[in-house]
Amino acid sequence: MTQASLTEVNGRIVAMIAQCASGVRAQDIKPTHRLREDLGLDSVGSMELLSMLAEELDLDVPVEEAAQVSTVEATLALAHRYLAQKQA
Amino acid sequence: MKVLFVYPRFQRHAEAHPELKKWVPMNEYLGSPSLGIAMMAAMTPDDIVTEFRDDRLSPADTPTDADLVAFSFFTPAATRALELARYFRAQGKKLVCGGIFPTMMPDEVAPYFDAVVIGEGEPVWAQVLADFKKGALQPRYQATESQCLDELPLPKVSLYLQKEAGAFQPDDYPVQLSRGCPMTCQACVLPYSMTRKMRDFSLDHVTGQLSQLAKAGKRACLTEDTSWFPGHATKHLKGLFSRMEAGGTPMNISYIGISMPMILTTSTATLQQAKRAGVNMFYLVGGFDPITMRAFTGKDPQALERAHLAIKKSFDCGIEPYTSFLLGNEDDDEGTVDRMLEFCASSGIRKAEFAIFTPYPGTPAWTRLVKEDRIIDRTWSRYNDANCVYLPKHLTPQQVTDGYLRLWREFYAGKDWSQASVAEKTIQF
Repeated sequence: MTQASLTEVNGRIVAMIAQCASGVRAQDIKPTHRLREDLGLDSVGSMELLSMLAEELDLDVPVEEAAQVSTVEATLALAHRYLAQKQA
Repeated sequence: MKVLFVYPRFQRHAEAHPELKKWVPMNEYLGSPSLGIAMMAAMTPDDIVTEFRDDRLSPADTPTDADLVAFSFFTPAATRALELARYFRAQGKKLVCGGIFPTMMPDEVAPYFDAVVIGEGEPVWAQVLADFKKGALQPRYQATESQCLDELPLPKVSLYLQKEAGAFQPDDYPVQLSRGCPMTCQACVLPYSMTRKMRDFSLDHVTGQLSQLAKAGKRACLTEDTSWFPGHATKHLKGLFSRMEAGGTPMNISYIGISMPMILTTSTATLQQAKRAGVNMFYLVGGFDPITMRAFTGKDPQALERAHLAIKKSFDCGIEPYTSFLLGNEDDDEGTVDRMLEFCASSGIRKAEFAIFTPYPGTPAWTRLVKEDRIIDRTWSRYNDANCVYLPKHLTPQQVTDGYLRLWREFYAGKDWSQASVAEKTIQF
């Protein structure tokens, strides 16, 4: 994946996180932010995010694995791992 | 050799509270037994004669020439199962049991049975039969690995269909899409009885299940919320919808189970596809998820708003939300019943059922309430969603029971169902 497309994908994922965590703007989200404590993403929001990843990026991330993720950067890493698997 | 399969009876809402029959203007619906016995019967070799007794239809405790009596039961039927076990043991029969209650409470049932199957029955059933033939039944059987679902035959639902008569003529029978669940919801036993690993039945198997029902003039009910999980599960479900849309093989669904979070997180396009595939009703289970556990507490306006959005989305997609409400969660208080009724009225829900929170053995809620010494009744027949068997936090057990009855009474008061079809006005209570 090129740097440009990497940045674009990260931007899309951060926008999804902002959409699921109501009241947070995408430009205010930092990689170190914790999904639950800092962004208020509850279990329903997390499931919404997972659904968006599946619908918009065609990613098949198991619910149990997604449940282990607690920060924005960990979410990006997980998404990229599954994107890489898909492209392999 | 002959095996007698027994499905013990249990008390339903209208049996526990006969006044419900007066208040609820719906057809009473005696549903199919769970699929456990139909699966074990399908896995029993042809040289073994089988018989099935549904104790709900006629008392199962009559003489039998069977060599082995096999029970399948869940918590509400456990009291009766133990009575029946005493009867058959007095007749000199060998007894084996499985199902959710034996899986979760093996020590409780062990004194009544010669063998207890813990967890999925399919991986060990052949061994049970072989050991029985040798006269060497083991006290417990538990598979070391989850059942590979691709290897399973279709459940032998003909066993149930042959019993149809009188009050037992369900127009739908259960179909399984998957087993297991990675979540750990407070009141659900599924991850513990079927493991936390989600496994799918192949679409050919699911199509086979649906098709054999359609050939018998029956519809299928899919009770699993897990099929809506994002990613692989939803793809699997959409695959089924695509087959149904394509036609060819007759397949009819009466309803699919779902929860409010899953309605909200599933794309509108997928819900519309479900509608096109012939899904006209959701069995919308509440009380277990973070939305419905908080929406009626008066303390979480966001949860209430989400609940309204979920109902609206369901209606917008043309799918009727037959909604199940649970009273008695930890944050429920004296205002919860009013809030639920107000929600029903303002959201336009036409069809609902009401249940009392029940800490089923094996669930995290059971473990917690036992630890807190809040279980007040261990009569398993009263663990049927119609009795308060624990000490609620902000209400008395009597307030919970009264509130549950008020919900049934007031929700259905004044509702006109005279123009509704038989299927529309049929619920299980």
